[in-house]
Order: sequence, then C-alpha cells, then structure tokens
Amino acid sequence: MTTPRAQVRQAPIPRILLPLAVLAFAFLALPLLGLLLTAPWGQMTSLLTSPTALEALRLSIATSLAAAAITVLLGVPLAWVLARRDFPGRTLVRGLVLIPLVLPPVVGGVTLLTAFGRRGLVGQYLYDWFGIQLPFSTAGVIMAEAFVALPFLVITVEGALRSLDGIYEDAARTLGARPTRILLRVTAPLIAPSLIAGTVLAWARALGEFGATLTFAGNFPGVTQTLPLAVYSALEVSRDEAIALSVILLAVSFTVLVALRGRLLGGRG
Amino acid sequence: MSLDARVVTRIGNVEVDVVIACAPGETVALLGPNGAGKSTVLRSIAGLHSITAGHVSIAGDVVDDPSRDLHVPPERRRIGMVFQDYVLFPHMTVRQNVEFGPRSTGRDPAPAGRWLDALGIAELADRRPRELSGGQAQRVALARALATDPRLLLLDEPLAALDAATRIEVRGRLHRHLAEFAHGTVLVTHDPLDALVLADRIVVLEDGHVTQDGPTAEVAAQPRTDYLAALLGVTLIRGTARAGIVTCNTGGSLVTSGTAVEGPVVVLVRPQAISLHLEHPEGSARNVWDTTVTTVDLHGDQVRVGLAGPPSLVAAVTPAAIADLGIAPGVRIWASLKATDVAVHPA
Repeated sequence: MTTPRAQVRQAPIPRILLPLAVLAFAFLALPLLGLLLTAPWGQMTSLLTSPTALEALRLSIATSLAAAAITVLLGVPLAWVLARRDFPGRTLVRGLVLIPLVLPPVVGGVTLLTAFGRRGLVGQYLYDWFGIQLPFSTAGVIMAEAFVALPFLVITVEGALRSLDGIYEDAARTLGARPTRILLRVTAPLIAPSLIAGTVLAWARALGEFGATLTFAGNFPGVTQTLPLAVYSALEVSRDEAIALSVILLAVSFTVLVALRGRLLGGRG
Repeated sequence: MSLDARVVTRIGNVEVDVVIACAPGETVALLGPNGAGKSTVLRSIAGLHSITAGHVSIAGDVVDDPSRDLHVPPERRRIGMVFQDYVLFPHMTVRQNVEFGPRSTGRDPAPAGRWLDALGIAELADRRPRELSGGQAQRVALARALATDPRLLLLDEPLAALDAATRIEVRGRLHRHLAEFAHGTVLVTHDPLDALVLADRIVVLEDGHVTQDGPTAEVAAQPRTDYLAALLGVTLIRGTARAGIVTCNTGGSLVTSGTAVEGPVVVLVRPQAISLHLEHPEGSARNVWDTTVTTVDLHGDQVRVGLAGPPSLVAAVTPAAIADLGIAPGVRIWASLKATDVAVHPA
C-alpha cells in the first residue's frame, strides 16, 4: 500500500488575480532581463577598468561605507531614545526621522543645501568660522547618502528594540548590571540581527543614492561622481559603459537581497 | 526583616496600596486574581516600578522612600528575581546566564558553578536557553537569581509557564530550595495551590489592596473574601506520605487513594467532604475518627465545625444537621472522610 503524499489543500485563486500577478512579475523582471541580455559581456573588463569607472567605483565604495558608519553611529542612539523614552513630541520626531524615506531625493538635496550650503542655516557659520565647505565635496556626498540612508537604520533598530520590550534589560538590572554593560552585553547582542540588517539596508541605499547627491554635491569625476552618477553621465557618451556600471550595481543589490533573504523575503534561515 | 514595605503606586486603572513584610527564611505568597497588581508590587520592591508613596526596606536598608526622594536603582538592591517566563538571555549559555550576575558586580563568577550543581543543572551548563525544557529553564532562572547572593528573593509566577505534569514536580523541588534559602522570599501567584504548597504566609491582593494576610493554613481554612472562598476554604495539613498513608506533622494520619506520591506532602481537605455521625459509620469511607467538636461557626448558609482530631480538621454541614446531631463545642462525634477526597500534593 502506498502512502498518499501529504498535501495542503490551497484555496482557489480568484480568476482575476493570476494574470495581473504574472503581469506584475514580468514588469519587474523584464528590465532586469533586458540589462543582462544587452550587457556587453565581452568588453566588460575594459569598460569597468576605464579611469572614470574605477574612480566612480572607488568613490562609491568609500562614501557609502562612510555613510553607513555614520548612520550606525547616529542612528542607533536615536532608535534607542525613540524606542525607550517617552517624551513630548516623540511622534513628531519619529515622523521627521522618516521623512527622507518618502521625500524625493532631489528635494532632500535642496534641504541639505539650505542647511549646510555656503549660505545655509549652519553652513554659513561652518564656512565663516572654520572655512569648511560641504556642498560639492566628497564630504557632501557622504552627507547626502547618510541623509537618505539614516531612516532605514533607525526604523529597523527601533523596531527591534521595541519588540525586545525591556524585559531582558530588567532582568539584567536585577542581576546588578550597570546601564553600559546592559547595552553592550544584553541589548546589542539581542538586536544584532536587526542591527546588521539595518546597516546593510542603509549601506545599499547609500550606494544607490543619486538625486540628493547630484543636488548637494554635484557630479565631479573623482570628487563627487559616484556609480549612479557615472551611469547617468555615461548614458550620454557610451551606452555600453552605462550598462556595464549598472550590472555592477545590480550585482550588489542582488547580493544584499541574498544576504538578507530571511528578513526581506519573509523566509526563515 | 528581609523585607518591610508599603508600596503605593498605580498600574493602569488600579490604585495599589500594599503593606508587605517578610522575615528571614520566610516565604510569603502574594496571591490574587490577574490584574490585582501583584506583579507591580513585586516590580516595585525590585525597583523596576516607581512608588509614589510608602517605602521599601530590604534587609534593614531603605531602598525606596519618595518622601525623602530616595530611590536605589534595581542594580544596587541586591535582590534576586525570577521573572515570569524566566527571561533567560537567549544569546548566552546556561553557565554564562548564571555567571552574568557575579560578573556584573565585579565578583568572582566561580561560585555560580556551585548553584549549577545545587540545582542539578551542571550538565546543562553549555546549552542555550532554547534547548531547555520549561522545568530546566526555571531552575536556571533560580540559579541565576541565587548566584548574585541576594538578600531577598522575588519570584513572579514561577510555575505559570509550565505544563500541569511538570508543575507538580517543579513545585515540590522549588519548595525544598526555598526552605534552604536563608533570606526572605516573596512569591507572586494566581494559583492558590502554589501559595498553599510553597508559602509560610499568604497575603491576598485584590484590586490593588490586601484583603487578607495570615499564616498559610489559617488563610486556607478561613478565607475572608468571596474570591478566596471560591478558591480555598480547605484544611491544609503538612505531612509525609508513604504507601498511600499520610502521617500528619501535627499528629494523626490520613488514608489517601493513591500511592504515587512519596515523601513530604501538603494535604488539602474540603470541609464539605467530611461527614459527621452520632454512631460509628458503616460505609466506604476509609478515614473514620471519634473526635471532639472544638468550634461551631456559621458561614453563609453553612456551619463550619472544628474537630479536635488528630488530625485537626474542619467540617461543613447544614444548620439542620447541627440541630439533628446536637453539635456543640465539647461534644464527642464520629467523623468520616473518603480516601478519594484527600488531595495530596508533593511539597
């Protein structure tokens, strides 16, 4: 006697949904397929080792890593305060923190100019007192990237801290642990998966940053021209180079997705 | 005193005002329905919840006194707390969990190993909390709390996370560990059986206020509120079980219906289960005594008749029966109790 294969009886799909679902998938997948099929695989090495491409690659990696480090350094404390302290205006603060998520990046660049530009709110003093000029510099690129990336880290870490509920910290306190020890030995390890996920998300967002960077930092090869800006510039000169650079960015995005598959795709493991 | 406190605070809509004390070596159960404020009182004693008035004093040191703006934080109160669901650190091994307390206060973590041995969990030392059963996790939580050398032990629903079978075993073992602890223990529970087996004294908390406070047997026998009466109204006798017979610590013995439990036990007898007779009763009841009536009290529509024993028990009968049998203090009478009505719990 054969054992019948165990099957989960699934609810039938409403007839209208299936074609639309297929269409949605095709809409997302076809451009990617197009990129991979038209990529000049034969000249890939020469295209990617051109001085402009190498400069852009180097600059992108350096600035995105610096931006990711800044988001961790500033974002974790902010997330902690938002998750653990009740203060008047907390909802407002959280709303402001999330604005870069929905704000058009170009507008983000404009806001950065109004704050840190040479005549900006803070920028004028930075320039007058210290001679520091942030716009159209590599530091400006890092700021633009950190600006758009910060909310990703804050919401991920804040969510993790919230779901932790403070009970482990309470237990640590009754065991005699001081706040700093609790942060390092209890809280940080417990939120580590979310902290890593948030950092990778923030880094990926920083790497792909275009609008705010262009507006605030400009598009100067070797100084502020990151990969996405290089792709945009290359489109006018050499389509093949733009596509080759795009493949690099696609590969990075894909790697990030694989690394975070458990958290983003809802799977386990 | 290990603990001397008046906790005045608020949780949700419940105004809490509770006076609670605990002598060294004593276990006090804070018993009450869900939402009565029990855990809040415990967290206030630990310093995790702030009090608005009153005071908390642990082993003679005042650690909370809002009138003097004094609040010693939890990490400097030297208390041991076992949380509901145990809250073991999931990223640490059992040993690291138990050593966390001594390491946090800059002390030698070596004695933590002794607690692993004492609680029979040494062989689990390298496991992670997720690899433990509920009963094992409870022992780790207790070891972790005791390894800080606390002056007061606080247990928040220490058995609520366990299934019924594990609970009986763990409850008995917990009772032995608490008996060995030199300082006071305050235990929060909503289960009267936990309080009856584990505590020397029961403080009943309802809607933020103490409704009864007394020795365990007294609270068990004479519940003063409707909530308690529904749960209790039982006679509690401590003794030792052997081959189905419980020898009571205060004299006398009881025949029980099972032989599964051996060693120290708590026996609970419902007053309604005891029948009174003028003559030696014929019938199936395995426990029959010739005894003297000590007290007669009217409780609602029942009369509670105290019996000298041994063992000393309380019977509940109707007012009509009192008249028929001519029951009054000093009268000699026959009492009977079926073995199946003797509830035996390992202690």
